[in-house]
Amino acid sequence: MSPAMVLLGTAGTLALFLLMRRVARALGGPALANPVAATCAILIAGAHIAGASSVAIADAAWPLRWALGPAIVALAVPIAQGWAGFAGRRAALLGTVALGSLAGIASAVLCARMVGLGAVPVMALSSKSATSPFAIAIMERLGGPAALAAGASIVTGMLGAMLLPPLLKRLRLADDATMGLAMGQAAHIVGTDALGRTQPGAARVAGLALALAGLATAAWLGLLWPWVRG
Amino acid sequence: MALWWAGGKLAALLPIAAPGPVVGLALLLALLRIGAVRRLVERPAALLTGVLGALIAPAVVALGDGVPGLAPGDGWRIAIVLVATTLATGVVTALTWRALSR
Repeated sequence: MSPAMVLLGTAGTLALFLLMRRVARALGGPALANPVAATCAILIAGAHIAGASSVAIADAAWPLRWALGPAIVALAVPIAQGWAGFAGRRAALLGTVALGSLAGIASAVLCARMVGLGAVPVMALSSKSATSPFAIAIMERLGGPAALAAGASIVTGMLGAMLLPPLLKRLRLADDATMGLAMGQAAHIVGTDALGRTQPGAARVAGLALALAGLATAAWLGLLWPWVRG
Repeated sequence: MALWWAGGKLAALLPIAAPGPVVGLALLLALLRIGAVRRLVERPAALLTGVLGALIAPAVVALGDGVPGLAPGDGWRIAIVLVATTLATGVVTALTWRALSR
């Protein structure tokens, strides 16, 4: 692939994402106006209209995919910042994330098998409770379907951002810490972003929870992979 | 960047299948106790985490040509799993926090 194509693919994808993020903010940030989903939909639609391959477009933006690794390392900074707010409650925080991540993996694998899904979607769904950068890294390490896992993780975030807050409010589980942990664990970046507009205190907790949940999911899946793979 | 590289090398030596970037994250967490390291990485880290969505996009766009391993009708099954387990995971997490933080 020529350097010009790589430059175009990388800069174009980045510029489109920044534009979609600006549009989502201008619309008030509804959960359905997800900048990642919009960027992907436009790029895929563009590829089909131009008669090009989506894989070729994704390959042209390889520097972005490469930068995902350092970006995951960088998540240590928000974890360290959020950690300070949990002094005296850290054991409960870690226990909650560990059990929440295990519930996410076990429920996805068991439910997927119950509805008759095959090995590939079962593996992809097992990491749906980790935010997509973690899901990709986990699948690449374990040999699972990284792209499908990333897609499942993003859709999970959108569904969680729309459906979870009303349910938690109905169950009287909506204080900042409880809402933030549940949304960070189950709805990752999209859920955290949505909380930022409605419940900023909970959004700070969710930012910490989504990073810890990624770590916990990586640890659990490392142990449970033979069972997940079937 | 150095920690990402070191994380990859260290991950290969670990008995569990931890992704290299996740090991690098744990290393950086330990080093952030040092003030000079914290000041050095805060701005580039904010820059990188601010565009996480764009870094995810290429992996998802690659699905546009179809997903090997999926059978016809899997889409609806996957949707059912995503809705049911996302709600279940959120509620279990919330209830666990309430129980453990009392």
